[in-house]
Amino acid sequence: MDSQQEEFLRELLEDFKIEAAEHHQAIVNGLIKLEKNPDSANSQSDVEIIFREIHSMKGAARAVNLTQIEQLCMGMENVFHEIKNGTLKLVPAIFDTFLKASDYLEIMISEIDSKQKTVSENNLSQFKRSFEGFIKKSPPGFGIIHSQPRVENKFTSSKPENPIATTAADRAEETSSSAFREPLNIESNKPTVESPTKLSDKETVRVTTSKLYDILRQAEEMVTVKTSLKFQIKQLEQLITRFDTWRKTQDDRFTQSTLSLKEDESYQGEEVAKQKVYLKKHAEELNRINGNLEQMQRLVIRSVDEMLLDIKKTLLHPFSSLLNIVPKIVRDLGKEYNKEINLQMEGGEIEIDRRILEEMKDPLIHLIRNCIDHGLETKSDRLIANKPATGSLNISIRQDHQNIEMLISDDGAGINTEKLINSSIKSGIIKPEEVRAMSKSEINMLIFSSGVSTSPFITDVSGRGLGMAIVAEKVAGIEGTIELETEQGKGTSFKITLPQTLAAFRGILVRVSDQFFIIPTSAVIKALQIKLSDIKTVESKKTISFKNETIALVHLREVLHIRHRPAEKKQQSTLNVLILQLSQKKIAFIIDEVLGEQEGVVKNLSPQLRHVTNIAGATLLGNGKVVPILHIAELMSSAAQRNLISDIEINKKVDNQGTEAIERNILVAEDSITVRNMLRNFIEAAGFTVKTAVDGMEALEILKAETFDLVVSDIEMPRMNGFELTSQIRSIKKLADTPIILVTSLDLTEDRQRGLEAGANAYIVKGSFEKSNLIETIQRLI
Amino acid sequence: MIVNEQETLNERARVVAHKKKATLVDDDSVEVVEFILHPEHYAIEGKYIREVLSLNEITTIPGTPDFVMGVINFRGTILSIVNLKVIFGLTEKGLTELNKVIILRNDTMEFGIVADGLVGNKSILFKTLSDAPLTLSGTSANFVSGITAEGLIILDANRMLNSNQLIIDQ
Repeated sequence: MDSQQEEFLRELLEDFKIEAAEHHQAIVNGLIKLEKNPDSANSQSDVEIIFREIHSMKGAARAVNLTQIEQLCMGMENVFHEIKNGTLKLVPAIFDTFLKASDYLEIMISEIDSKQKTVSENNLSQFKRSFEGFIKKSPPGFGIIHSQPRVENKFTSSKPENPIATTAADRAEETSSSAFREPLNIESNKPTVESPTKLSDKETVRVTTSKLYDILRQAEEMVTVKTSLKFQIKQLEQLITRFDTWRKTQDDRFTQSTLSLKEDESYQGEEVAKQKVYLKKHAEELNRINGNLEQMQRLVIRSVDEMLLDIKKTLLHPFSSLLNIVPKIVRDLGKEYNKEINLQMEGGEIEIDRRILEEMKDPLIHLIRNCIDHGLETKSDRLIANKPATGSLNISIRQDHQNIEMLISDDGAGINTEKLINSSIKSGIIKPEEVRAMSKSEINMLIFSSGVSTSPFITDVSGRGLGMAIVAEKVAGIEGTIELETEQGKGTSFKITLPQTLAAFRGILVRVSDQFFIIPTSAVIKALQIKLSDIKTVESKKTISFKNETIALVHLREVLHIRHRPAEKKQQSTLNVLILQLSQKKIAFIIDEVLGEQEGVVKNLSPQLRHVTNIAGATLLGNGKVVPILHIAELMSSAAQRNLISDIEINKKVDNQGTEAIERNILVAEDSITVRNMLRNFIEAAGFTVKTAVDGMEALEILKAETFDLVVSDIEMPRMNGFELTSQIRSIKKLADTPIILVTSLDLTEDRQRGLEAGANAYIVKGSFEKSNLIETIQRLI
Repeated sequence: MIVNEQETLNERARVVAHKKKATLVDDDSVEVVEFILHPEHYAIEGKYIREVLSLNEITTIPGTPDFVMGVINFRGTILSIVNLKVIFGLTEKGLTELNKVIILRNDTMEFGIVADGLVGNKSILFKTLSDAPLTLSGTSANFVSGITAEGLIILDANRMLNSNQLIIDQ
């Protein structure tokens, strides 16, 4: 019963959080609209809206017993009641206090579930007092100017750390500079405040996004079914081909033998005919099943793709939910930098994948901050430059087929190209001699390189030169692109092109040494083969030339610190190369093999592996194998760091590889020819050099004559068995340290014990060697 | 007849009640699963073991420390595999097979550990355990609850699952 009630309460709180967030946004939007134009004809209805929203939030908070939120709302409601009745005039201090209070409401809403409570009773009573101050100390018709010092007195007496004191301090600055704060002009061409459910006349239900994501995740799992079905059909086709070839040769043989049969052997002919019919029937059966499976595959592909598309449509969300937060940010930053800003937004009704909206939140805020901090000039500067005193900031969203364009532009100072070039040279992104060959747009794109800032000051908002790189990375992460145009003195505009929904993940499957990796297709601009002679060394760094561009060349194997496979080293006269690109940076990676493109689901590496450098996650191949997906941004920076290693270190590395590439010799002792050859092939495939012996005796002779790094031995062998061989090896001083792996067909505890006593290092059960960890054990022991 | 029936029932009740009492005495005992990390025998409390399976295929992840053997596909989800031999410094001694995976799980964490072999279930009394031997130190000593009289090392799965030292977050 108790747990049921708890569950009920939790559900109620979830509902409240959603509702409260909507009320909060409506309150903030209303306040900003009202602040901009307190005397307009609509102001009364705006007051009405705010009052109603506060009242609703209060009621909802009371219902779920959140007294702090209820109290704060009640205070706000009281003030707005007076305003509504005309007994209290709207003064600027009200907006400051109310927006601050809204911030506190937002914090309290976000902290409903957490133990952490940022807002203290003290904070609340501060608000309460200032609310009371507005009501009591403001008789009807009280003038704006006169109200200021009075309220201020009250504020200065409060503690410095309280929220309202800061507001008061801000205002004190304004009044002392005698320039009464200019209201922000915020205009929205389209009403974007309403929630989408209200706009729609269709019937809607409220479903938490987490549930939608669950459904999406499950639907995406079906992509794995698709790929694994494809894999199985391929396997079956190969089987049919093999079967058909075999049947044909068998048929021929039957025909021949039947012809040569004598009369009294005709029963054999009948037998053969029977077998032929039997084989034919089964061949037909196989083909029929294959046909059915292919039909089923087509059906699965179609329904999975359609289902994914439909589910993705349910995740579409109007841009307005992101744009709603903009006016407040612009207002706060405008105040902070003492800049007048006219904000215009359009296209809030355009729908886009929720996840893209979530991803775009930080980049959008960063670009806005950048526009306000660096782009727009101060009022005085603007007047000198013959521009209107109020700067303008435009955010417009447009839809073009499946792509969505977000344009963020200002009419500010533009980007100082010279400063940008200097900063880029200083942080080593470009070389002075490269500048001449660069186009204007290439130079502009430098702003997205990490470490570049045109701002001489590092403020808390911007100037560290990191933000723009992160913006570019985030946009690239959802397969979008970013461009910018800037003209000095006229302004800057950023154009971000985004897909409407997140596409299913596609990646290129590659092999490096004996490991497989997936590289996101979106990052690959070209796969090519190069000759060793195509590699040029520029300042001790290897490079190749691609479309007249010089691109750094690195071994993916080295960047990922994967062991070299000596077997591979010889026959390479050409190299497989993938050129990857992230924002404007290109790097060519040498890999061993490209195996094709894969569609799949990006999965987390497991809870224990929270984050591994260079790895973004993993996906499953059609045969169920796990393959890591590379993290392009991290990989590029790991490669760049590698590229910076000095001459000497590179030489040292080469030396290391030299030793690493030395042949590792392994002796295999096994009496069965089948197992012996299988072991040899298997170990050689892993890059080792293998010599074989038919029993323990021969193995010991060979060991005495030659040097080996490791011995793999069977247990049951004629003349000298594996245990005896092990004891013998351990007793010869020269050989005593050689690692020994015993392989056996039987998993017997006594055998294991005997092996241990004899001095073996490992004990592996035969069966399928490919599935055992023999190679890994060898690598570990050498 | 009825009386007899009643008597029988009473008798049964006594037996059942008695049995229950007997198990109550052993309430401190816990079920553990014994496994081998050559050359030593270890055990882990059964309630943290989700499943035991054979290690067929493993994908190594570059850039992870040696104790992370790799990841496996466990019914469509990806699970990491920890090699305790590396953590306990057992890599140099003994035979190595490591072809069994014991999947450990609590509310917040899940991963597999590899073993050379599985011995089976056992019941042990926690209060009879002696402390971890002095030869174990650092991380490994933290993971040991104690040792039975027979020399079976009981590992604290919960502590391993909650340990920050095993989490890779570069």
